[in-house]
Amino acid sequence: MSKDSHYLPLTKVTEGMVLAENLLDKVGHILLPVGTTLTTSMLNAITHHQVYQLCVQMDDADAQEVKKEQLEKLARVERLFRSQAGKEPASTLKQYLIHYREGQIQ
Amino acid sequence: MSMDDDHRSQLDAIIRHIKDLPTLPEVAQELLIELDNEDSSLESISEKIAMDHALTAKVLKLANSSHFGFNSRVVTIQQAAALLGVQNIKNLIRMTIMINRFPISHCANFDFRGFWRHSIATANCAEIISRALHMKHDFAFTAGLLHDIGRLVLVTYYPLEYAEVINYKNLNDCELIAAERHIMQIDHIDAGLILAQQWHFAEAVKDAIKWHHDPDIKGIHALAPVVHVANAIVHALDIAQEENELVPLLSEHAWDTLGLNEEEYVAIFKETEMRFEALNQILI
Repeated sequence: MSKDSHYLPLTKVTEGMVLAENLLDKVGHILLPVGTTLTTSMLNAITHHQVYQLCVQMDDADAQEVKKEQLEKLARVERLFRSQAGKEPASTLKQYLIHYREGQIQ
Repeated sequence: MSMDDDHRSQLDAIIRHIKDLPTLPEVAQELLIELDNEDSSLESISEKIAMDHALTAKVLKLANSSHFGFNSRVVTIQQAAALLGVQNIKNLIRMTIMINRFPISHCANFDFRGFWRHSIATANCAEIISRALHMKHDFAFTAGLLHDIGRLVLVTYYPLEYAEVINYKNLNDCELIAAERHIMQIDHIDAGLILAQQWHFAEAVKDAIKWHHDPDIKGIHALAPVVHVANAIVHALDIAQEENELVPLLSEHAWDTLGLNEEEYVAIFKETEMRFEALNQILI
């Protein structure tokens, strides 16, 4: 999955979204290829295949929303570790977590 | 009455209450025993799952979710079991059985959703850590899932007192266990161990419940430090989504015992979050 795509539950996938990964059936045949622009009839058909999530490309608004969430998560780290400021090994764990959160944002 | 007598009588009262707790139904008990048996076949587990419609639906959903499955259509339990593997199937059953066991409590301040979010994520995180350490991971999941189960016991039977515990915690910004000891004189470890006895949990799981806040004791099961660190990680990942979330005291001894490096921890954070998201949509 590339940085500019995300998994959405089928109920949140709407007409016009673009598949970011091949959608496969149970034996590995491609039902819909990557890059397909989804239509209402495709989405109805998918429902009958018991698929619950799809990997779709993000538009700019989605991307901004995700970035905002990730920045909020990074900002929370300091507060979460408030009782162990400067103590080891909690400080090391905190550093690892900050690096992880920063890596998600880039 | 002295503090000790007080503590003793509280414990006795809890033991009496726990004897009233619904015992696990026979099918669930059989399944849990079967799950702990390493040699149990996928076939025999599949057969038992098929007897429970709600469980069947959950297993199929998980197999069809993108993280565990492959966006493919899975229609039978046998296919789902083969796709997910024995381990994932076993874990899903454990979670389903436990989550459905407790009656809804009338403790206004207790966040059930947050409780299960934390427990499910800790179960997965403990399993991921034990895999990184090449330990046996079967018990790691169960131990992570049940490490805080005593909280549910307390909140189920003492909803009013537990509401006070939560208030005290919020006012003093302390760990829940400290608030429990202050208000109720007993804590979720005491209550969890009584339940573990009653429900015949494995020794490894009991040790993890007993020592997950204090894993520096010599001679305890190697899972206790794993659950201790997994618990801290899940608090740090903010998975319960509680406003006053707090990373509990992290033991240097447990941290050093695991001896994992940054790259391994970052992989553990990522895998824990991804697995949790997939399960969250199915279970809670």
